[in-house]
Amino acid sequence: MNLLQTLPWAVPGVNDAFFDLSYVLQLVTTGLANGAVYALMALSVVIVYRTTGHMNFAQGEMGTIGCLLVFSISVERGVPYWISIPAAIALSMVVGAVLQRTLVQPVERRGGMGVVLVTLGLFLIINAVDAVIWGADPVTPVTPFPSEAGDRFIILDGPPQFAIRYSTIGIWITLAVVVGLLWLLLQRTRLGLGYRAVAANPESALLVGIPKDRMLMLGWALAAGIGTLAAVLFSQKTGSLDFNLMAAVILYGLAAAALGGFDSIPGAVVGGAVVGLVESLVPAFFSFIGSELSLVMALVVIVAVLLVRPQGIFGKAKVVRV
Amino acid sequence: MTTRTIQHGSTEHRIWQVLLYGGIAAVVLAIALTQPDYRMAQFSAVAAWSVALLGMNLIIGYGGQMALGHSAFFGFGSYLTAILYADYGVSFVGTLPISALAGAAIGFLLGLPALRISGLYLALVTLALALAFPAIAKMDQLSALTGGANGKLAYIQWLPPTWLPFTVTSAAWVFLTLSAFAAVLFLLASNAMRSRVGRAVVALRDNQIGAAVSGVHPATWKTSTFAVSAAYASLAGSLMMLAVPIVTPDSGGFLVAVTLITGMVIGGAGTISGAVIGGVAVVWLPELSKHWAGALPLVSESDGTALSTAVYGAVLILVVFVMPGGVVTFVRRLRARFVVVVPQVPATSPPVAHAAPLSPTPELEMERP
Repeated sequence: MNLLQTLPWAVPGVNDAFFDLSYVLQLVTTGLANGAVYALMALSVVIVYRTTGHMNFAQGEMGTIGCLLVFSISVERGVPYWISIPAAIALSMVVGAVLQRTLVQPVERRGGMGVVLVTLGLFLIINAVDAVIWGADPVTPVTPFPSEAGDRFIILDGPPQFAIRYSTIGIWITLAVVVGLLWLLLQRTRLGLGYRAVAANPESALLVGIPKDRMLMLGWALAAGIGTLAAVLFSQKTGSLDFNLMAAVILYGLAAAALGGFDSIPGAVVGGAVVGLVESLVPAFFSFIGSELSLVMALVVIVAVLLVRPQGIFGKAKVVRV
Repeated sequence: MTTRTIQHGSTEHRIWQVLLYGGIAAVVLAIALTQPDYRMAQFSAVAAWSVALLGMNLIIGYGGQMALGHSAFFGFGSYLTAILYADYGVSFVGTLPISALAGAAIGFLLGLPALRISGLYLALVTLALALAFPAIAKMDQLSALTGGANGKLAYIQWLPPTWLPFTVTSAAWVFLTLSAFAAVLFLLASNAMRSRVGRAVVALRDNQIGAAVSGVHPATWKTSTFAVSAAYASLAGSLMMLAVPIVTPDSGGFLVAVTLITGMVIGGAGTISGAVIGGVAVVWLPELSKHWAGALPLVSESDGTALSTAVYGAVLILVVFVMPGGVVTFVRRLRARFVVVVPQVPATSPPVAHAAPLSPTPELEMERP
């Protein structure tokens, strides 16, 4: 099984175990599982960006509070998760729309810095409120997918083993369903047409009678819902839940969005996958790169891509009239 | 109420300027002579922060490049001074030019990719720099230099000299020294921004193509702005070592980056004096919000500490709503109701009517076909 023993050479700085097929496949699976969560975060970043041109730094925290709500309803009150999770998603969509209307929209006219500051402020507020209400200690989250040690398909046996957890497959299916539903909503409904019209040209959209403000609220609502879903999935994946759950995930999500292009939905999915893969493969491949540098590595890749394509892989370059 | 008109550069204007700067110097001296030592450390931190905020202001406020990760340069400067002072025996003042030059060099190199990336992408990439900084500082390969996760200690000996006409504590002397350094750096930046240099930088921000047509080479000026602002941030980090003798990996991390952004916006982006106000806000806003959080009803002691972050966030949002241009812009608007300073008209040009100088720019967006 171990290819390296058959190789006549050893590469300095490269992890020997990397030449084992099962090990590599396991890393790829882990990377793609995390990548799917990052892709969901990137999706919510993209949905907000397309109509408003803003980044919501509080996106991850909004997801965390939704996830903590699910925990309170399901674990502490015993409501089944198939009620609590949709309820939390619906609630966070309402909250997202309300936040857009009350805090973001009034500031929007005053330039980009104002919105950045408002979302940073929201980030701090929600994070602190989470810590006060739910405490700082991690809890065991709700698990919508089977997550016992044995719940997995063993594909290649023998040490090291290559297996895929049911929950990992669940995350992938969820991502596919979300992207599918988004596609249906945006391409096949009147509402989605309005959203796309506002994204393409707000003034013209207003002129033909599309309620622009409501479309902006729709963007925030969709993003908040997807963010909460991402938080629930991520807490299931890590098996522990606290108020800092999404602190790193939002950054990976932003990075994925930048990589794919802030205005591209397929870009968000591809960006998430790439960021997840880089995060899991690069530190494992080079023995001199510690896992704490995985974020740095992911960012280096993004900077490299942006230097070649400043608008991201799938993003449209902005054409400016002189 | 009648507004008073003062001509720029007239004797009256000069007198007001001298009074203002004299007043600031008097306040600094009064603080040094009267405040207790623990307060002095905070005032010293204000001086160091304001230099970093000035650096942020040069690149974001004046240059219009969304470089949000200047905390990395700040942390870099702190580490450089700590390592040079503690391990290589370089004097504190000796570390400053090294820190400035090294910061400028790194800023120049990072300014090169920034030429291709702009807007939110640049914001994200530079924020990534702030995120990467703690991880790099903690790296095992560097821990001999940086002290790993525990950070680096450097107690810098800084005693008041004997030639001083008054006696101050050494903490007060630290404050006076930092204020003097900050004053020089502020003067440099203020003069540069009011001259040809500043006009070029602002022109690039407002209309890059127009500026390029007028002979401002975008690549040269943008990278130079990046380098200078990085040098300021790095110097600020070095100066901070005098006020706070420890630097940790998180000194250059995400939270410091957020602190710098908020400080800059509270003070006022694109203003020189806003950096000082931002420095004051950065030092005392967390403390005040802790105080306010403790005063909230139905809040226990431990929750109050956690809630102080929430109050901090709420204050931020409030500032954006009430004073969108920062404190300085707010004060200027207020001042413009009483006093208007008009620029001197050159003798050769025909006299112009004094238009209201703060009238908003006309909306040109709708004129396009």
